[in-house]
Amino acid sequence: MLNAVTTDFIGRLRSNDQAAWFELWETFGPVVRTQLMRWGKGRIGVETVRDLSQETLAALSDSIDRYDPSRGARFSTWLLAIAKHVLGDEIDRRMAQKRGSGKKAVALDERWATVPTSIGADAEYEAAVFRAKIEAALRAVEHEAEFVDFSIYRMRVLDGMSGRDVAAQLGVSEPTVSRRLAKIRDMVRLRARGMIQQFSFTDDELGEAARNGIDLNPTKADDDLFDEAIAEIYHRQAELRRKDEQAALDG
Amino acid sequence: MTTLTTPLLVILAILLLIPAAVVITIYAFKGMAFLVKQVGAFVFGMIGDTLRLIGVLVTVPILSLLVVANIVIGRWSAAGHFGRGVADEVRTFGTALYRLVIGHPARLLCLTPLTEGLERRLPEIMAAAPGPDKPSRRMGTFEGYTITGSLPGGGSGGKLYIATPDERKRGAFLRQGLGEVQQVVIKAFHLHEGSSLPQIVRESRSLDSARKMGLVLEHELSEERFYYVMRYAPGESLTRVTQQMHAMTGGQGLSKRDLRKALGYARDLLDTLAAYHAGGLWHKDVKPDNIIVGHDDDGERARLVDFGLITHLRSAMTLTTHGTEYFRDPEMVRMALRGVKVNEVDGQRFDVYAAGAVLYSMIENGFPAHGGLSRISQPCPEAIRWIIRRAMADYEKRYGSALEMLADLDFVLRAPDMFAVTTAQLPSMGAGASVASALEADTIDGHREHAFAGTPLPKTHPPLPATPQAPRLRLLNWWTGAFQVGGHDEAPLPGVAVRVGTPSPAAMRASDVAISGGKGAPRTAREQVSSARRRARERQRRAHERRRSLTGNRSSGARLGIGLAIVLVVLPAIAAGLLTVRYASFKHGPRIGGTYLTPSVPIAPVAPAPPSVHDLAEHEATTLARLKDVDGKLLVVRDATGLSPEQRTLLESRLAALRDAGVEVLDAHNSATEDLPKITELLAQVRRSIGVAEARSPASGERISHWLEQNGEIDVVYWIAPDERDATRANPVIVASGDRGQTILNALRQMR
Repeated sequence: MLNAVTTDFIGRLRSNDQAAWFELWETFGPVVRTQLMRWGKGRIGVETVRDLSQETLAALSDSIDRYDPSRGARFSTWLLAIAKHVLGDEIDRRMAQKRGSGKKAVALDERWATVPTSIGADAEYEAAVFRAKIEAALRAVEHEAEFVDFSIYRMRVLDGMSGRDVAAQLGVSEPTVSRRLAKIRDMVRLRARGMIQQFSFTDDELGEAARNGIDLNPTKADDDLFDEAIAEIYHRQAELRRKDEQAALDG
Repeated sequence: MTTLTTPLLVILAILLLIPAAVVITIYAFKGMAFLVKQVGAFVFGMIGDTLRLIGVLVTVPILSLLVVANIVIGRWSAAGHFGRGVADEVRTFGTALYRLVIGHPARLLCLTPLTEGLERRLPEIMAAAPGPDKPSRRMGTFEGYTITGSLPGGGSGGKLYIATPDERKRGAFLRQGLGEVQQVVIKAFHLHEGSSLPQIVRESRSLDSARKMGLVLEHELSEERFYYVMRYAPGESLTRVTQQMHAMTGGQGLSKRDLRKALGYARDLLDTLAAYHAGGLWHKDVKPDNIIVGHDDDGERARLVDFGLITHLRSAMTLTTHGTEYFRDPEMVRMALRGVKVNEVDGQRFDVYAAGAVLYSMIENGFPAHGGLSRISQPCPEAIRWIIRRAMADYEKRYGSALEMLADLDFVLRAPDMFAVTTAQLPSMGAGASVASALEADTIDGHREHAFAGTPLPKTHPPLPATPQAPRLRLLNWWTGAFQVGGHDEAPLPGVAVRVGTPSPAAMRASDVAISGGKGAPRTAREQVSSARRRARERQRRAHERRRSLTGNRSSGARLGIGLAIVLVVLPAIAAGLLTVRYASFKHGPRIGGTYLTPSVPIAPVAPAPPSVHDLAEHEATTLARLKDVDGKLLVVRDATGLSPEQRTLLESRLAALRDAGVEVLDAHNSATEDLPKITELLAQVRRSIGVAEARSPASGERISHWLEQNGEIDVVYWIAPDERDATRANPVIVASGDRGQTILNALRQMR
């Protein structure tokens, strides 16, 4: 069922809160772009994908009032359905232009004219959406935490430096590094839970945290596993962003 | 034995052959499927393109007839429309023909890499090619300049021409103190040459700022055309230079020599940015494409170009989202979406973010797609990673100025072994002492803060800026926007930059040349700006005298008459309006729901409860009597713009009551003209103190309180935020400091 955090966020979107829309775009923009690239591979260019991912959110904005939480759709599926709709519209528009308006696109490769028949969410997409939520949590913690504290966390967990190296870099003792690390870890834990709640519509989505090793007990042994899980998610998401950026460079 | 071995071998051979046969069959089927797909794509592609060619051959004659017919009957617009249709069809014909002859056969034979050059790289190169070397007839000529070449245009729709000024122009530049100008770049916009009016307005708006610093030599605006002239900085873009440096190592990151070069470019960039900021401007579009690496007398150096978005730090315009993705601070976008004004934020911090992103792009040969969280995977000194991350950190946590970042960078550059420099040694870390002691102090006193939303100010950061980094500008004339840079002596740029990070003499010389173009002894940016202003004023005075001599006194008399008429009509109207508001305030009394905050009291929304008129009168009588002896100052910050008329009246009545009681209410909406600059400055400071946070958050309360303590002049901040549930209602946040503030706060509580 829909929780209070999600309802509040949807409420902000419905009241056309620009900051909420930007948050949504910043968090899920790359995932939507990557998905559109996968679907439209060879059919649409990168610039079009960027336009379409923006149009996806615009369409989301139009459909937000019609969203019915009682249907039990996943947040990720909802986002994907709209992206699919936008892509379908674009391909229809191009076909229509090609048929009659005389304003045909001047692509040398015409393979995009083949409309894909089966478009659906797959495990890769679902994982990317989940990673985007954790990334949003990291971003929120970066925003809230002191710069030095978050830097310690970044160096230790995300960059994989040893506690001794981090301490040497900053000129502090190792226990200080451990203490600050624990503080940020707690924040990440809390924020990750919050983000997952905010961007999840179903119990299954809420359960993704446990499946990905994020919902562990805050014990000494589990802390290491939690850090590992976060680092892996961060690196995978960084890779997704890198591919997204590379696609932009390749044009 | 042999009889037993032979069947075993046969069985073994069969067992081995079966999987091999299966694998071979699978691959054979895959190969066949691939062949079928290739042949199918080829056949369908050929059929489709042949039909397309036939279609074009049918369509073109029809369209051509329509073109001719429309020309005959004089319908030029329609003729142009059909003409464009013919051009499109011809283009389609060409591409279809290409696919029939080369594209499809090449794909069938798996020779796609051969055609990549034609299909991908060629269109890219053509798209990036400079325009024609001569301006079109429509664009016209540029008086005093001979066009010698062109440059690829940017995203603003402007055309870029390289030109040589004639003797008269060069003499004029010399007289204006702009130095010897050999070659210039003219950026021209034409409404009928791909530019739109908003683009022209945006670019022209920034020009006066850029001219004041000698970045723009001259500009001209006519009905359809607008152009401005800048110095020409020959060289390669930093994007290309970065790609070349990375190509040398085959994608293994920068070599030590190139790393040092890249950091040198970053130092040049920061040096230039510091000069801009000292002159009261921020660039707003810092990115590798806008940085040109070239040679001059001081050797190789990076120069910042394109002043299309350059903005006053104290501009009263609303922030816009213009800029380039990845190099534009996402928080700036958020602020722009919230309608924050430029003078309410510290614009130089956005340039600092972009400088960090540029440094990242040089190290990584890519965009910082993850913003501040972007991963640095290429080999680079840990201290440089820290500098990049600090520059791209949250708005309030990043370097406060370009000079501060420059000091850190300079420190690393001066080290014999950059990789041996630790973060703790950087000047911004107080050579390690402050951070280490602050972090270790927690161990000693056992203090552990649980920092979430609403965390008090971080201990390891310098205090939140009460505009110390921004140059203090004294507004000379509110209406014309004339201002004067000052206050650096009283409020030096903060911290390390002054102590450690003074730019090297070479860098300073380079900066001087970049800004003034003059030669001789290096001058500080402030001296240059003062000198430029003096010259500008002198030019304005001369131009004014020339205009007067040309137009005579009649027009000025007419202007005077118009001005008098406006004064006669507007002043009584304002007076009548004020009287009406005052009357309404006494009639209705205040009924605004709100939240009261003291530094020690956490914010908790209080449901609005309109008191009765009788209660209000009683409370106000007591309150006003108590306030008579208070010499307090209250600053009004208005965020709620969509208030209902009734709410506005109630709000004004409360402020009027405070004024009557002797409290000095500093309100930009209801103040004398001479007070406005000061109030604007205070508003900018207090808004900057909370950054992007909501005014109603506990963290903001703490920060405003901190600002009040630092400021010392204001006792109470009365922040009128809109109610979250009902935008037509106000929901003020009130933060008080000191005894006087507490008295006013108590009085306000009772008034409610």
